[in-house]
Amino acid sequence: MGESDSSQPRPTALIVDDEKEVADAYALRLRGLCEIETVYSGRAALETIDDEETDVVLLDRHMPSMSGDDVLAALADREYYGRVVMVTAIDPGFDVLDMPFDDYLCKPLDREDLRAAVRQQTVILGYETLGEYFSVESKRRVIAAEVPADERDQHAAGKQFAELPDGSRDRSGGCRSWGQPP
Amino acid sequence: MDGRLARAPIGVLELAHDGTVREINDRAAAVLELDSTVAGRSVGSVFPDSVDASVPRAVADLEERTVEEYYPALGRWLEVSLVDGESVLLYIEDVSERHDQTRQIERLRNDLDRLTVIDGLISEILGELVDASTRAEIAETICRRLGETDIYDFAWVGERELGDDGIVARAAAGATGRTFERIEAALTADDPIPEARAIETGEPTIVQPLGDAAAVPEAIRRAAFADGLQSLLAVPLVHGASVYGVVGLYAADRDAFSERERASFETVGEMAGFAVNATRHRNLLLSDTVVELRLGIDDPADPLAAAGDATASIEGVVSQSPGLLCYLAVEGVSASTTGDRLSTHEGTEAVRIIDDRSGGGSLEVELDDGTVLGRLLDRGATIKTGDIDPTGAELVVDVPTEGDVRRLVDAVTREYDASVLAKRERDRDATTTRELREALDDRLTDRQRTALKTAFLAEYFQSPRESTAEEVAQALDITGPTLLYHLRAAQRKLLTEVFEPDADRNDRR
Repeated sequence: MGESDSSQPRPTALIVDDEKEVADAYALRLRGLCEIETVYSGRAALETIDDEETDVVLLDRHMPSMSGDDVLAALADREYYGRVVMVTAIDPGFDVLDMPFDDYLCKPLDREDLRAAVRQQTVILGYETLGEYFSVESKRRVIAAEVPADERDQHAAGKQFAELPDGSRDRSGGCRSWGQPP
Repeated sequence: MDGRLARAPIGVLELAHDGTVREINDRAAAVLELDSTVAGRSVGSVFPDSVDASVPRAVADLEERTVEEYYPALGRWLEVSLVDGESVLLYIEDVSERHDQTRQIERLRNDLDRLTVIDGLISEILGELVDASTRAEIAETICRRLGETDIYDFAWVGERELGDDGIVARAAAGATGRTFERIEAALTADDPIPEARAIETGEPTIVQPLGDAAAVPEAIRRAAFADGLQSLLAVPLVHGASVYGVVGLYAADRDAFSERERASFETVGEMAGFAVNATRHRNLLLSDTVVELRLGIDDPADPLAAAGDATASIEGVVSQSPGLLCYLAVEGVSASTTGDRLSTHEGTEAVRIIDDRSGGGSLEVELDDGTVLGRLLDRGATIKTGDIDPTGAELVVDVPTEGDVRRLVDAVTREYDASVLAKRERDRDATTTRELREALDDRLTDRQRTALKTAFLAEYFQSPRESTAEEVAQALDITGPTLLYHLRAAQRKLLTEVFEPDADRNDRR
């Protein structure tokens, strides 16, 4: 995964922080790694995510009026496909397995930690999308090949077949284990 | 660049029309953290990085304009004006201070808004507590008011369980989330939580930041981190020596609770404790049946039980805060003999002889809250009779409900060698308080009733007064003289109903 491979579309990261100075500093630190958007409020973050494809959101937790947690809840309602990295003021040292976000970073963020976190999330997102595609596609093929079409509806697997997700993903699911970069 | 520009107190960068740097003055070099050897380089390579690269873009467009941007590498906000002429001049000004001031003003304004909201909230809660008539209503009022604001995320109220030291959740409101689930689990498992500590100590407890606090069970800290909560204030509901429960208040901000807020909420806790206490007394006043207990106290640790050679009876008891006044009629020895004996006891605060004769008399004893009488009054009991002889004391008290009886006996027997000699439920004698109250409601106007109740709850009728007439009037948003006018009318009607219940009910003044 070369950082400056410009032949392929690069992932996009959205930086959300009410302090413009902080957001701009992060943006410069991420240069060359991905396409970067910066916004300075929770509301602006939601507008951007609604309008533009956004793969990774770096979300400041404590913002006035609409907090990072409020944005997170709104994203869950929208079934947002991307990854959310929460930027917090404290580091309680917890793992993120049962947290409602995909990762968290503690202020102040240095350049390398920031880039590593965003890189990791884009890799996970890539695997997740691929993995989901293959898993759905292979089930579809098996079912299509083995079960005559008129029997599918009575068949337990046939019901599952009908309900297979189409590009959506389960945020709380066990995708993380695939996601570690090789 | 001529000498005037070179020495100007504003940064000047002179460029050729193609964007090549010609000259830089000292001020610009200082602000941009460059030396003067930048001549010949392009403006894009001289100006530090910024998100919008507004200066290189303005130069490329050769458009006269002023751009302002933050430069992370410098940690400065710069305002840059482009003027096109023989050469292109960039006037550069460090405007960081202005941004700092704007942010500071915004922060102060937010603080002020927050304080205003909190003050309003607290006075509303206090107002509603005055009207709350059950413990459930008190818990719900506090939860609803605190849990449903934007400042705090959620609030819950816990109460002490009967007969043991456990806590049960009575009410919760707001975004309770996973955190409250974990709190409930901790209550079931009897894990130590900050709310329990607040009940034990009777003091408000602040925990912030929550995620780092080793004293909080990890399951709660994890849930709080997931829910985005960083601050906790636990406020005990206190009245006198009794702690009735606790409010747990959770907020997202890292330093949500200042010393000022702690003090304000301590008042809320005291007011709620007072209201809980008042409901207990009110239960006793309003219920038609009461439990009558006959208690025997043989323990010399209690001053009355140790009163000694004489026989004496309790004529009356007046609750104070703190302590109580007990009026005794003595037979067999002089009142001063009994008084001397009582005054050496450490549970006795003061003794005043009212009537001293050789074979008896009467006296007033001030007792502290830790005595048997103090404990009984504190828990809502009414002292009916009390007989004292050389072997100890025997008291007959009325208690409102079955639940309170256990708690009350527990509170006495835990400390003293005392036992329940008899217990029976009986109807309240004479005219019930409810009848009196209905009759009084017929006589009082709404304003008179409100004035009387508020003054009573504000302990205006206590001696010394806990609230002045001015304070009560202010609480009701009326003037002092108006309050006194309403109070006098209400008192006159109350006393008429007590002493001359058959008098004309058409007194509407």
